[in-house]
Amino acid sequence: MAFDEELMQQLMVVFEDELAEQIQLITMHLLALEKLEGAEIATYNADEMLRAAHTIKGSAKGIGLNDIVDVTHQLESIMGALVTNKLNKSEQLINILLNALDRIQDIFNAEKNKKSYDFNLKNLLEDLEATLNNDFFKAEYQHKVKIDIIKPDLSNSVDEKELAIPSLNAADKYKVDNVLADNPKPTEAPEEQEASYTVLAEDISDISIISEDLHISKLQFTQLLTELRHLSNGLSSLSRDVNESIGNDDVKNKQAINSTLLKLSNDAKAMYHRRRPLGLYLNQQVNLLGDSLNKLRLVKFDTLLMPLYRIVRDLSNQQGKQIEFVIDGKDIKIDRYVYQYLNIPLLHIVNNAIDHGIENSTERAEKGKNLKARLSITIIKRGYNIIIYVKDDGRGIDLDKVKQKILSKNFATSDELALLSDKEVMNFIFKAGFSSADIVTTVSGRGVGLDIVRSNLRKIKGSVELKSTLNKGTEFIMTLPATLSSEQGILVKVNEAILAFPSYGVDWVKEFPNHYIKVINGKKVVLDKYKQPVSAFYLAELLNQPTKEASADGLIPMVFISNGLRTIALIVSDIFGEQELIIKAFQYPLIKVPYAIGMSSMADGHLMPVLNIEELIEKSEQANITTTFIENKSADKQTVKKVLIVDDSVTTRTLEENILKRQGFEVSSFVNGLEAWNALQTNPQYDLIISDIEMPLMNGFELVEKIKTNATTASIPVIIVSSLNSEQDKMQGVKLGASAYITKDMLNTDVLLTMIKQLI
Amino acid sequence: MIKVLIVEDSAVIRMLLTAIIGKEKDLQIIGEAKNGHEAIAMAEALKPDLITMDIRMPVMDGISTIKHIMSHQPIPIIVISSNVNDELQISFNAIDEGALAVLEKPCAMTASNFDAMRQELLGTIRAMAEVKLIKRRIVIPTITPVILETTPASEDNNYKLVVIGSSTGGPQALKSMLSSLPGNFSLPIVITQHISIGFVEGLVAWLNNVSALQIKIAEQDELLQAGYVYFAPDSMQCEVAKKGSHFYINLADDEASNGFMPSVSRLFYSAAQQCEQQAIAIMLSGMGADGADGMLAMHQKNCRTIAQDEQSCIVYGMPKSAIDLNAVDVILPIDEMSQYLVNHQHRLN
Repeated sequence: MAFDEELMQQLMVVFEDELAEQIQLITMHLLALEKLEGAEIATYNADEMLRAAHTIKGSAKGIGLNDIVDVTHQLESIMGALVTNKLNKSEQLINILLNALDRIQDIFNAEKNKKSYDFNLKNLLEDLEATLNNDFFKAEYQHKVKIDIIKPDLSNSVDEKELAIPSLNAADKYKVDNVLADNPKPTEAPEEQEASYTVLAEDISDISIISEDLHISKLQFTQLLTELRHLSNGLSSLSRDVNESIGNDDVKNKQAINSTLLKLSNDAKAMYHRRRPLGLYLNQQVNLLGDSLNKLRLVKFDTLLMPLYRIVRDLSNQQGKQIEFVIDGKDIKIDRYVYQYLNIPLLHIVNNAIDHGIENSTERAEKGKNLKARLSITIIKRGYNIIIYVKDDGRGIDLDKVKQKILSKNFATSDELALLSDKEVMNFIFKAGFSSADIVTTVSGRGVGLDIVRSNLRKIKGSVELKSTLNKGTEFIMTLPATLSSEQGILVKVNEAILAFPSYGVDWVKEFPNHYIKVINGKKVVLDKYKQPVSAFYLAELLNQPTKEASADGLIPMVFISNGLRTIALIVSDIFGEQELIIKAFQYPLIKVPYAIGMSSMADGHLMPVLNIEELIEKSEQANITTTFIENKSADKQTVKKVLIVDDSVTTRTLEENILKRQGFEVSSFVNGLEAWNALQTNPQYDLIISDIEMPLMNGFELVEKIKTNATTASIPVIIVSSLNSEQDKMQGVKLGASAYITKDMLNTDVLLTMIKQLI
Repeated sequence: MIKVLIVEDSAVIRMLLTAIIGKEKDLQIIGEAKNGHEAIAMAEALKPDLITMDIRMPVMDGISTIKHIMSHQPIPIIVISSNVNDELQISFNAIDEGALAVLEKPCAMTASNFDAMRQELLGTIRAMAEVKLIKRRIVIPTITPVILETTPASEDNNYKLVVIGSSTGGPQALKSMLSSLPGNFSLPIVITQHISIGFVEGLVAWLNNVSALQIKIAEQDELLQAGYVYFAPDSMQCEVAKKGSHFYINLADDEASNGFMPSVSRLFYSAAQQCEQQAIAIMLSGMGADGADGMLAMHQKNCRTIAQDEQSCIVYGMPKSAIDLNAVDVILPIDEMSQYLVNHQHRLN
């Protein structure tokens, strides 16, 4: 059989999953082994771990990825030596093994993306082989007198036992991977496993799309039934009209027409009644189908959370902190789709807790705390919701610092601040622009600040709350619905277009007489359902559309939308009602459509955009928006921010200019540090400076130093955008006073704008 | 249509095997099991004609599974395993439990030996599917055979050497023979066994466990001595050479013969040339016809030529080819081979 390209691709897909699974298995075992000592290691059942490596090797060979075969071979040898106590377990050794796993993943990724990987394989293999023979790692078979054994129930009591030469006793208990059992009972007791299939996520997506289309058909059928009923009613009322209008002279004709109409009406009604059960049945079945498919996407939490063990371990090792990490409630299942929005918030919160929350051992000792910090993730199911608690026993959140930040960022005045409760103050942490670090370095695509947590959760109809006690710890509480039921949407009309709001973002819908809308300082204000004042806007103007002014008399329809933090009222032309929404997200090439999260179709098949609540609220917060009415267009009274760009590359300059100009910034660009500095001295009225490093005449570091040491320019925030990406360069930039450092390979619209929003 | 059940815990290998086997018009894959547990259930439910079996699997491993299947509802089983370390040693234990053959896991489509591997896999499947298992169970003894008496039957025996050729079904036959030969058997034995690369060490180790003779892999220029059994190494032609009154091993990596390297024909031809009437040749179970022409050459030089009988062969191919060429003096069932050899060894002085 000739080389089959398609088969090869399929094999790669299957291998990718298998590799991820096996690597995760080995990781978990290594992390478990790391917690054991001496004799316990010898009795540890490492079957699964060794088999996982074996499987990777066999499969890699079957695909022809010989580099992976080589690395795995070394990995197997070292792991084998470890579990038979020929090598000493140590953090270093575990690191070497974990690192080898990372390299294997790198090799695969490179192969998948048809690139080459960036490390030297030969060196790696030699290093691994050397590890096997390295005396440093070799177990010492001496009389080991004291061995600390930590009991697995985490009660933190330490037993000290004296063991004679551990190797001799351990030899009896060595787990011999001897498959020649005398009786053929299973080598591992099979748990009550349900029969399982391996299904590609792609295939489920395909089926889901079909199911969604069925939903639409179902809706259309319902619509059809409604129309049938209307028809029947129409015919009966026509019959009545005819009866009245035709005089009593033409009785025979009248009777004929009448009876025909009646018959038609009855037929229509009969059709409706006959079809109605089908409609109900269809409704029920399609909903069931949708639910069943959703269930297919359910995954146990612990599968999704496993990578966190390693992340916590690596982070705590890097920062020299001791952390006990516990996950509870792993068996609870969650929709994979939902989890992808939960993933980043969780990662972020965990990162945050370790970076800023948990103190190092010295500080903890000073405070009289356990040297080992505790980080726990607890998941419970309550009613229709899943609640996730992420708790640490670290520093807690310093409310005073938060208040300072709020004032310095002008998020509130000191008077307003005084009126806020502690809980409300705490909630400011979720606001965009709030970062616990003073310096923001390269955005790694993970989102900066906890606003990402809130916005991601919002997408899955979840919410987050924060509790904290200074010096005792912090607890994040995330609540989200356990299942995705289909969306409901509020349909509105704006000008002649029909748009839909996803119901989760809509707080209230109400029609107000005109005089309920007050105008204060040029802003429209109206009272929401809690009698709190909220800003009101014409939806059309937020969408940059010409706006038809609402009439002075009559009622003005308004939709109150909220992102969990802020509520605004939107004036629309008409409100249609609520409807089930099947939202189809945008696909390539429509990657980012402003103000919309997708399209949905109405019962009659017409398409309507589904609005992005978050974006609308953000837009409403941007500077002062004065309504542009259709008849008279007045100039936008926005305060325009001025940005100075300096970079010797015309490509970079152009890219940055375009991004900024589109956002309404005024941009001045220069080609080297000296020119920029001269310009600044003439006119220092800039809100932001974006600078490269490598430039002729005066480089970025020199420029930044000058800017920050000069009184007139020192307060202008500087963002460095450079291709230099070493830690040293970043530190240098930060030391000189830059507020942020973006490496050129990470530079794109989102990254830059997120950064800018934080700073000005 | 041969119905095949694949037992393999790796999804990638399953996919490869399915692609290779499923492409054949006379083979049909009726199921895929991920572990021994599933394999047993599926074998019972689907009744395949042949099972390919992995060794290292979760929940229930290959050896236990083979044991179970062969003791309840025997089905031809081919072990597809890895030629590395512990799995290698275990793979031949599968034969003890009743597996018919041991083959290597598939290599990549891009590998140079892919076609050869594929041919071997498909050929073995087709051959094994037809093996009558009841017959087989009677033939392969499960008790340790008695080691035979040493006295040679006749004083005119002038045989100095035994050469053996075998292929599919060889390991089982060899085990039966070598486990019943006495430790002071006076003739060195040289064997060419067709086997996947990397597996011959495992075979040697497995046989060493049960034989009173010393079994090893042949080395270049090695002197052939009584009490030893020499196996042809991977990818080499193994021949015998005579210097003075002694015999030596000669290894050559020149070319394949009959498509094989090592080839039985090469061994037999060298014996014909170098030993003339002083050698005994035995053709054991195997597919194809390798060795038949070599055996004819030996027969023409008055060597003693023996073929394993159809009844006790797992695959009768090679012995039959030799018989068809009229190259065979004696046809024997496997359990009479050792006695015959013992009777014909020369007396040790």
